[in-house]
Amino acid sequence: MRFLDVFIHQAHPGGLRHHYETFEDKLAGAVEYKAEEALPWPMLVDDLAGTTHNAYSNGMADPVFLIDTTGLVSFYGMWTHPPTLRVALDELLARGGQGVAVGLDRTPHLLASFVDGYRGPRRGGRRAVLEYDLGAFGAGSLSFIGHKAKRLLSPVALRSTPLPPPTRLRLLLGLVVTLVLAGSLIVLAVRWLD
Amino acid sequence: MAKSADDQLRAYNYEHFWLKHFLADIGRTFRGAGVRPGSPAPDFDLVSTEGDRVSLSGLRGEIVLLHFGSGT
Repeated sequence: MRFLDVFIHQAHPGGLRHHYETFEDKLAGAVEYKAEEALPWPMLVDDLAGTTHNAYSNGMADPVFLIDTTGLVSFYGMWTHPPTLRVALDELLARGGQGVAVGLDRTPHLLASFVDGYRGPRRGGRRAVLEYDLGAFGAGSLSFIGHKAKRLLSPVALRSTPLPPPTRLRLLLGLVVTLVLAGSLIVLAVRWLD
Repeated sequence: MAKSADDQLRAYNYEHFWLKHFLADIGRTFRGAGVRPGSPAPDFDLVSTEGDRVSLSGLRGEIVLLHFGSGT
């Protein structure tokens, strides 16, 4: 099995990392990125026009594909989510490396991005983080908060395998209880202010 | 009117991240844009950071996990 990364355009350009103007800029950016993240797998560099990126995903920000042994797309995760990828990979291996496994996952899996994605725009600089905030409804701030709370959130947000169903149920119940309590507190506060 | 190659290059390598870029991803998500499972994976022949050339057709017979990502 081959694990390959394709380096795309600058998603969050800023004062520290500008948009690419030449392939040499982009290649240097890929070399720097691979070293900073200590990525052990090959990092391929797409051309300046993003030909491969566009051919596969029409330019999605963070897509992932599994390609089977015959060259067909087996799985397409539009927003990379390791637990879903793991399920797809296990299914593909169980099929002997051929056929569609899981298929298309178009769920916007943003939690992992918020918890472990701050390094990206931070590399771009302050303007990159600010534009991420303004352009994606506070995503820059959310990823900063997620980064700070990484140790607390990573057991849920950065899992490589799916959560067991009982744990999902408990988390869902906890979320509902938290929302009800928060709503009740807001109502009490409004009444008290009146 | 179709964009010129220069316009497409500038649009892809944008200088600022705006709301339209985020909304474009949301739109693509709704449309399921990209190569659908069951379809042939487009071939590529790209250079790696180590200077090697890697093509998908050269990996036939192996499972390939292909991720696309940005430095920022």
